[in-house]
Amino acid sequence: MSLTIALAGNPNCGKTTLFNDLTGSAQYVGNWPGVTVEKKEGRLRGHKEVLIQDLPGIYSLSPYTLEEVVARGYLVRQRPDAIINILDGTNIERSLYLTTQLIELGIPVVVAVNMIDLVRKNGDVIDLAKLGQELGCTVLGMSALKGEGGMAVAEEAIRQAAAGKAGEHPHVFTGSAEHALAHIEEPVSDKAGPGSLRWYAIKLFERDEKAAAELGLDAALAAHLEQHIQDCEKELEDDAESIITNQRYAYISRVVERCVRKKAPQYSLSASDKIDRIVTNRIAALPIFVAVMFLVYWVSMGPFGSFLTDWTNDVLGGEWLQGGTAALLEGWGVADWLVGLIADGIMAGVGAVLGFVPQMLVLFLMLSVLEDLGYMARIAFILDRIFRRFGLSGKSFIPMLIGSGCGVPGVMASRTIENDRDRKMTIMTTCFIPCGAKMPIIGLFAGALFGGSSLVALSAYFAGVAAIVLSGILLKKCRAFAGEVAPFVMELPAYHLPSGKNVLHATWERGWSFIKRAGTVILASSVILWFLQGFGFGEAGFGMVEDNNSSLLASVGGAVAFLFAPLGFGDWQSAVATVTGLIAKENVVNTFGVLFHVGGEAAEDDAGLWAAVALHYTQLSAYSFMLFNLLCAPCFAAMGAIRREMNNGRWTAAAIGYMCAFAYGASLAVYQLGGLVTGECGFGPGTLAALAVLAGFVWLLVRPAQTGAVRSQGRLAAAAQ
Amino acid sequence: MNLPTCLVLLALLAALGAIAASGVRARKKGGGGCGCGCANCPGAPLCHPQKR
Repeated sequence: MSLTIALAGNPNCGKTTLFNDLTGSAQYVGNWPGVTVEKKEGRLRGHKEVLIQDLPGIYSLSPYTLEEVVARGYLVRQRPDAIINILDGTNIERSLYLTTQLIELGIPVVVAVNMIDLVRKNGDVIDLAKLGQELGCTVLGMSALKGEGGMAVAEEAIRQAAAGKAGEHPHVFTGSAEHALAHIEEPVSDKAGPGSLRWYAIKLFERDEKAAAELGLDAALAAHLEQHIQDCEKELEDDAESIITNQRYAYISRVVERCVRKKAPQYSLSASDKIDRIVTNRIAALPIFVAVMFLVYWVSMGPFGSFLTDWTNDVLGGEWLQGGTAALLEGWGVADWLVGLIADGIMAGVGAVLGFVPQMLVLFLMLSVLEDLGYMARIAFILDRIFRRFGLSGKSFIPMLIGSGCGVPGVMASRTIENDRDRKMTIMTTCFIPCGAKMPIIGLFAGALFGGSSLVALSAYFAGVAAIVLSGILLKKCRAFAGEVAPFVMELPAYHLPSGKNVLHATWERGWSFIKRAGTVILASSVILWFLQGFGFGEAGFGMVEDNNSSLLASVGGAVAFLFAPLGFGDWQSAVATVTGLIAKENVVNTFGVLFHVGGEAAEDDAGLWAAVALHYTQLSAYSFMLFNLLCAPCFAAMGAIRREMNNGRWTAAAIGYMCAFAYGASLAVYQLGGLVTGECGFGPGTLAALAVLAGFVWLLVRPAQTGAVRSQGRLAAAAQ
Repeated sequence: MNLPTCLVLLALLAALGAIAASGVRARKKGGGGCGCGCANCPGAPLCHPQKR
């Protein structure tokens, strides 16, 4: 017999950790709320007939957020055979609000009090048996992080699912509310089956339109029910929804009073609270954030990361792989052109990208530690203060947090933003944060021209944050985005020591994806690039060319290179690298690997790709190139995600156009004005263009907002005249 | 072209063919070319709805 068991609970209570433990899956676990935005399923270990469904974290079954809609839709319509309701044992009062709603669904519920080890460590006592009696269901303790008690909870859920009998509904409501609910239950009992009658009655009392639509109530019956609701509201002098909420909390308070004994005084600060007093302090928060990110980039992209990359590039990639492969193929007597394709094309291109794997792994490891520690959630809180001032909600940081791994899920994560204006604006700005694929570009230029300084990577990260903030100010003043910023409420998870398993898994997942892409998209691109830079029209017609400056690629790149000349990189190689970066951002480094290696620049100096890049750029033009490639249109996969999320061709074009224009303006200003200071550029048309762009940008930032209110006032005034 | 050249070329073409085929297969399954470990991504079901 096949059984389905759903895992339900508040955000960040440990559902996905339990899901992984029960199913042996390796789903991503993050120590911040909102990690799971859709349901996921897996088979219970040792019970192939049992399907475990991981639901997004929710606080209630009200359909206000995407997560609540997904979870409620599943529980009400598909009705699993049992629900495992996971409670955060350290915050049981808040967790029980959802429990009371789940029990009303008429589905067998097993309550799993998670973090029971922490509860005991804090000296608190939860009487699980008594809690079970009060709620009318089985209550068990567990620690998902330590893998304790999870299987016992699952086995109890299987037993109850097989029995198929839900517990008695607890007496949550009293007086007039209970009286009204009884009156509502009576006429709808034939429409809502016996199991879910209670839940539908409560939802109808709350005037839940979706529940009413599901039952298909006729006008007469709806009017009859409305009379009961209004009578109750009149008697209790409150609105129906508040009556239900208040009575739920009153019931929960009574239950907690009977079943939970806290050791610490009610208002004492926990260790997390004490850390937060410093880390989220109004003045210290931002400098601490900058310092933490500096440390992350210093370790990963600074001397330590550079040492690893140097070794991978020069010894592993250069001597062993590239040199070894070439020697092996030549030994076999393989034709020179094929040796060239494999050694100078594929090995040089893919090797240039793979050379950054050690740096990437260190970076991913450090970001995963920060995430699992609980600090990333604090950054959302810290940035909310800044973002809000400039028209963006702190909720926009969640997509950006995900986007630091890859822009595609970052853009997709914007779905959790309910406000359409904020969502569109977040989609347009999320890709400004350097994703993992852009890290090799940063690493290459930092290593080649800035002595491996970690400040380059740090400045790239904060250039992304600055681009988001400036875009927030700029776009919020446009009519399409005008309006109040939606409120951002996020529960800060307690700090805990990072779990080695979670951190290593997240690091490996990101790193492995990077390697996989190098072995597929980048490899295929290397082959195409090698052919395009090796063939062209010479004196004897079309054929292989000695100098890649006369290749097909040089002709195509040269045709668009003039566009980038004012930015300091008007050569065909940079133009080609920028365009191939649209396939995948790692392709920028791959392109340099193929072009500079084959072009001979790397060989001349005998110091590899970095030396060739250093010969090709100045520090200023390199920074301008890097900035442009970080801020301009993302890769095709991310553009596809933008298209799907915008669901509109014009909005997609506007988003990509905006990113390109922003990147062009920023690079122009950096190169032309920076060049004026350093003496690299003289005063000329480029400087005038940069000044005009800067002036226009400042005007866009300081001009009055084009609000909807102003617009409607204008229309009213026009109508009055 | 000598035999080693032919063999290496065939191996290379097979590898490229496999890359292209895996891309097409992923696309048919609803994949979007996302190179960030979709299987374990928290938002994966948004892009790749699960089929029961």
